[in-house]
Amino acid sequence: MLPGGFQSFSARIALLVSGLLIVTLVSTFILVNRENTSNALQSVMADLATTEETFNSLLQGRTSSLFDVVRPATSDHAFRTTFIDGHMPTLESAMRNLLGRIRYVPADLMLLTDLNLEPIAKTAPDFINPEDIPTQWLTDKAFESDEYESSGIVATEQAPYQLITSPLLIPNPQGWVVIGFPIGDQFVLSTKEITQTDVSIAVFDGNWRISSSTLNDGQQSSFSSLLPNLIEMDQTSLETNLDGTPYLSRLQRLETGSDMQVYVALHGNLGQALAPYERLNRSLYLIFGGGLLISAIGALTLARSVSAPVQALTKGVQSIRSGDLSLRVETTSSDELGQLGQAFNEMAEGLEDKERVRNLLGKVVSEEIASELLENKIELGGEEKELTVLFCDIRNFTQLCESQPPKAVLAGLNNFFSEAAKVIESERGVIDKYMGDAVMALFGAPVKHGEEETRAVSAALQLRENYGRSTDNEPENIIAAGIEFGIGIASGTAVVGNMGSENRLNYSVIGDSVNTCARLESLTKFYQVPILVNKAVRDKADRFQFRWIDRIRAKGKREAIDIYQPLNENDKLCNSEIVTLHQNASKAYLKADWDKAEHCFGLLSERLPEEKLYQLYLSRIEKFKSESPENWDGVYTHTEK
Amino acid sequence: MISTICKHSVSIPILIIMLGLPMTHADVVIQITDQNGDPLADATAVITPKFEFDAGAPTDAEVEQINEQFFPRVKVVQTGSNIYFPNQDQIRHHVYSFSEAKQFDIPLYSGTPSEPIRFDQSGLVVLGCNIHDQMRGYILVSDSPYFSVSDSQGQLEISLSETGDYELSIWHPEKDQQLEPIQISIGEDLSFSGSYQLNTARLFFPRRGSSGGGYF
Repeated sequence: MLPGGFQSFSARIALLVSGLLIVTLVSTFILVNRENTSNALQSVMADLATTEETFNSLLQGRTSSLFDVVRPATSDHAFRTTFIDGHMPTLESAMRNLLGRIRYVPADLMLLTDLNLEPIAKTAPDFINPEDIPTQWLTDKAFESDEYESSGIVATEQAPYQLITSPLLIPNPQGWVVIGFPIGDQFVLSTKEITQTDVSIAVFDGNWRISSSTLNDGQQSSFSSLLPNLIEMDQTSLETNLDGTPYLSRLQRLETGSDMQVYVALHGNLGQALAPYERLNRSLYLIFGGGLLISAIGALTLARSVSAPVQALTKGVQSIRSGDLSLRVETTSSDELGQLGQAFNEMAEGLEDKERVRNLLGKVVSEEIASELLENKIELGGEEKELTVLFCDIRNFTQLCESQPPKAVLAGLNNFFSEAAKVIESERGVIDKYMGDAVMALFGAPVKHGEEETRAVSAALQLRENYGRSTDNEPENIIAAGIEFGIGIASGTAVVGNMGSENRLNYSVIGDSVNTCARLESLTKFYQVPILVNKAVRDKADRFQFRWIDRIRAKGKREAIDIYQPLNENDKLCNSEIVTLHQNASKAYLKADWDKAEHCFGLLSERLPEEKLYQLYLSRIEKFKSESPENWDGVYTHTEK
Repeated sequence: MISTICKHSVSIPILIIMLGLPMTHADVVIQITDQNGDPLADATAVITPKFEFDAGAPTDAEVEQINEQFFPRVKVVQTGSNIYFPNQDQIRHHVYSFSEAKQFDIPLYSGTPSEPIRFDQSGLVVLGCNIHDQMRGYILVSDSPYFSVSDSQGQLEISLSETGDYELSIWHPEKDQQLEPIQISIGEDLSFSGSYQLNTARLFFPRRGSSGGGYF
């Protein structure tokens, strides 16, 4: 198995291309090799056929030339005279003399017989017995020819002999002349000189033996051991392996005048014939090897050119999955992969754009609202929800602007808003909008988390706590520390959703609770308290202590509401004595028991002179004492917004 | 040309037709053909009386050499004849014979050698020329004075003067068979006629084991 998807992909392509090439090359090689081998075999076979003809015509030529020498020699007057004279030593000497005249053919056998084929005289090598010379066979053949001449082969102990016979005419036939030459080493060498083909003469005289051959000793003994099988197979030509060299041997049986068989074997050197093809094969190996290498490299390069962009794309997709949208794929080609890379880049760009919008949206509106906007279909309209609204407004903003350079003011403001947002968001509130020097935050919209009122109060108390004490040398922090702000929190139903026009929307809330909240925030200034909440908030956020502030009817409102101030548990206002006193004072006030109320508030004002609220009540009671209000229901109606 | 050669000699049927013609001398007329029925020239016939006869004196004869051939090719002479060998060609010849009946040679000569060759033993003498292999001539030396050689029509005639029994021997240089003498009787009409068919070969070549040896 190949490791890695792309590695295996390119490896597969390389393997495929190389594999196909190997299959093509190997089959080409096999075909070429087979064709070449068959060509070599055929060419050697044709050569051997030609050589056989050459051998035969060489034999024929020598035989003819022997006839040409013998005819005039036997017609020679001196020879005739010697023959008639009948002195044997002289006659045999004359015969040797005659053989000596024959230069071209190495004839060394001559026999004279009478017409009854009785030997008269002979000169021959010792191993030839005149009785073994088949004169009957030769003369029988001679009677079948016009010239009373014949030729034939006879096997001897050594080389086979080619014999000719011709009548001795003085001038009428007086007997027969037989002359012969060995088909021996000299003859096979001459044949090889002419034909460049190795020649062997094989004789069977009970056993097979090679009488003459141009092969070396090793090859001869190889051939000798193969001979019986070759003869048995009875085929003209056979592939043989002679001492390690491949040969094609062609066998031809020569007609003989005895039982002994004589074969001439021609050996075509297949190795030599195949040599040019071997050279071609070596060239082919080189070409094939080179081609394979080049194609493998080419295939790998090609595969890489495919896999590299795919790898880059994969990396790109992985980086997108991990959130990095900035990665781009390099596209150099205009092919399909190039187009894919381009499409990927466009996609990444689109995603990045979208992400940028989302981030921006997250800054402009809260992240949750941004999500709501992005995930829901953006359309006009909203839903009614139970939620808690928090308003935080800087009180002395105008004075601040006058005393500080605008840049520092803005930096301070941003610093404050950032800190405010951090606190609000830590309590799962959502900044709905910034309006000049004010922040509006929602708890419970767009997503409800539960205990919205508690978290809103907690956020408000934290804000108060943090900003009351911030001392830093940075000018914006100094400004932030110096900021005075009031917070209103109201809980109730409101409509939440997209508001505005089709082209420009705002995710926002409208409703009574929002108005109440704004009103509460503005009343903090009036009552000189930092935070005001409505009753719903006080009821739900029961984890905190609250101080009743007033029962009011806001301007333009018919309904009266109780408003409260949430307190830190370590606040001195949480002192039980003060709380009791405050409750007594409040109850007396609501029952229009002005004296008791005045007494209690007076005590409170004495104890807490910095609390402007009690002075406010003391002056309100003083006013009611002089001019008792009609239909007192404890409600104070604000005439200012 | 005849090239058919039989392994064994066969006696061929000899047709003898006796013609009753009144004559003062006996006329023997013989027609000789080859195996195809074609007239055979250069065939010899020798009639030898089977009774005492007077051979008479032999006469001289000539065998010329014309155009590198012996002429006549076949000559019959009586024993004891002298034969001249006049060379009519412009070139020289070397005539010889290694035959048992007469061995001689006349080394290169032109014109007519002054001395004739005397043939005093009956038998066949084969003539050759040492220079020209193709020259071959035949001289049949006969004890009997009655002989003749067939002409181009294959016919020959022999005159006899006495009645009685005779032996007729026929021979041809290219005969390819053993010929036995034919017994004939010449009656009162003194006439004899016969037709003989011979197997011939281009060159007669006696076979191994053929009896009768030689050329008869």
